[in-house]
Amino acid sequence: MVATGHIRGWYRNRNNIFWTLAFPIIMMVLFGGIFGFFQGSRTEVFIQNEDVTGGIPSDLSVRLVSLIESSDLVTLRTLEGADQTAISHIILIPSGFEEDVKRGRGILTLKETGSGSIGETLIFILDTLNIEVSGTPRSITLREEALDSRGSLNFVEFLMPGIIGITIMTGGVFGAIHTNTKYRANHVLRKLATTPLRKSEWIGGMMIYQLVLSLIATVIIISVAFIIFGLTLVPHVVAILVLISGALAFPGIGMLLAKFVPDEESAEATGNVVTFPMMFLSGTFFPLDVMPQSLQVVAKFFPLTYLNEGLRAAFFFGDIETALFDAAVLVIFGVTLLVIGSLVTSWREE
Amino acid sequence: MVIRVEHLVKKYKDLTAVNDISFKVKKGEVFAFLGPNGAGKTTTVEILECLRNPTSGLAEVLGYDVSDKKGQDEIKARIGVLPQDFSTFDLLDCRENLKYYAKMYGNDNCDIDGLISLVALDEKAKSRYKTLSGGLKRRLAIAITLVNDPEVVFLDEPTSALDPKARREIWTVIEGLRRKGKTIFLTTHYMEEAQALANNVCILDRGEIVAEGTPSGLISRYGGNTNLVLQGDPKDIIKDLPTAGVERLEDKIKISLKEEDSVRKILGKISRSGMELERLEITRPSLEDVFLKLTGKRISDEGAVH
Repeated sequence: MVATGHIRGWYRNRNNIFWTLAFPIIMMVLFGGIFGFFQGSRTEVFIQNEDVTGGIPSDLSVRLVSLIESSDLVTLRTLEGADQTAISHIILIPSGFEEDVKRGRGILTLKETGSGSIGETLIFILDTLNIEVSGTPRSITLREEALDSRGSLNFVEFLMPGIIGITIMTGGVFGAIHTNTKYRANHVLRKLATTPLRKSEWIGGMMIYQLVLSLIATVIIISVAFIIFGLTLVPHVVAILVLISGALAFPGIGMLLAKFVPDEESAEATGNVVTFPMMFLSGTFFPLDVMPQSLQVVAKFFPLTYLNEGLRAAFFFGDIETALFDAAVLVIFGVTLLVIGSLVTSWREE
Repeated sequence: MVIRVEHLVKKYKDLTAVNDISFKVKKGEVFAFLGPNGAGKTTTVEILECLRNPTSGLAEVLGYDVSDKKGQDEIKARIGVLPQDFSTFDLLDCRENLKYYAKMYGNDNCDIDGLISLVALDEKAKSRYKTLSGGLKRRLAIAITLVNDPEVVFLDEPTSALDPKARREIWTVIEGLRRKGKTIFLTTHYMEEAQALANNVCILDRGEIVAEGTPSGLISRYGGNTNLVLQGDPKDIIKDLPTAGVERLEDKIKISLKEEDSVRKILGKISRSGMELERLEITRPSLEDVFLKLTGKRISDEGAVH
């Protein structure tokens, strides 16, 4: 009941719409566009050739690799010595592949994260090879498998949960700063203190308000990622839980800042001081493990790290265990700060 | 008895904001707390609204002690408060703002339209708070204090920073509330506001009550005499007047009148004497004179003493 009035006020403020919805989208399109373009104009595909006898690959497997290479649609890499975290597509040529094909039941496996156009390209190449080898188009079939490995996201896939993460963070921190400083200055809080409303009900209402905004922003960001980058995503239900805990985690920070910094402008400046390092050091734009060890340790103390990790786990990996752990960290962090925050921000005057 | 305060004291670290005050507010009256900024008006009101704890003394609202937790719940449900310098949600319209606060009291059947008519905002019901003028904003704020149909309404400086026209419109609204039987606790630093609205006035200065009573009672006790100022050639009428109260100022004569009805006697004398009157002025004492007499100070429009 506290929430509905605030949601109505929220969507009537163009500033709010910009910072909560347009800004994250612009950021995602910008970063995703720039880095996604440089990184991924041609998909890197890794070849895992196990059809090898005495150190020499079979003739058929060599022919297949050269066909794929000459298609000029993908860049081929060998799996040996590759950075495991950067792999998104693997073509597995099983041992005894040549023999199986001769018997008319060769199987080629494509492992990939998400679904891409590589499969269609491969089927086209296999048809050529089939006719070359046996004259029948059915002696090699393609089997597609999901590649379930951490860190195998492309840049846009990596970026999108981070954008949702920082949207929830800034919404929570600045939302709380705004409500606390503004409603303190115009004496709305003093008025509320004279009504039977409990402070806990007010804070609860604010949380619901924050959560609704988070969900709206999430849906919009996912939709934009689909429209612009073709990113399809079916989040695990546990993602909702991560989003809820994320919405809980940050308002406490804003509440404490608003308590100790008197006016709205300086409180917002302080909010920037707190949110900016988190934005860049919590695995929003680049993975934690590219950072120096010391900064990785620092990141462990930032709630945004857990929100980003939890969202990726729930969005792309179906990794419920990690997602639940991250959600728990966020809830414990958020509730602790909220309790401290509500204890120190008294509605009563002394 | 709606409010009872006895020997109330509120001390901050090195400041005594309210120093041993006692007063009573009767049901259905407009009770005004009159005094300059920093006199302790808001502190006292906020103690009655259960926003501050008293240091010592007794404060009861509707028979409940403000220091008692259960009493506070009961008081809060039955009073309506307009905090000083209050403003509400910019982007909600009048109706939405009223609904918002009605929900704070769990009052889903609040007569929103009735409240809007009461403060004459019918045409602005769908306007956002942000777009209203200062006077209209204040009228909506008063309507907001009424969403729980309170028995006692606390209005803390309800007309400060408003232009005279808007101020008078607020007075009309407050008059209307009194007619509806609400008890109104008003704080103000405007003398004429207290004089126009209040049944009883408490003059507060530096945390202490310096005088209490009806406006007319206070004026007749402390305000001094009604003055008659004449301008023109006095000829010899001065001789016939009681000398004690007559003062000659250049071309004017100021006569201090002990009793109201002596105005007629003097005017009769003047007309019989054939004196050419250029100007005649009767100045009655006001609460301003009462305050000046009691404290030796005047209050500016902003509420400061000088």
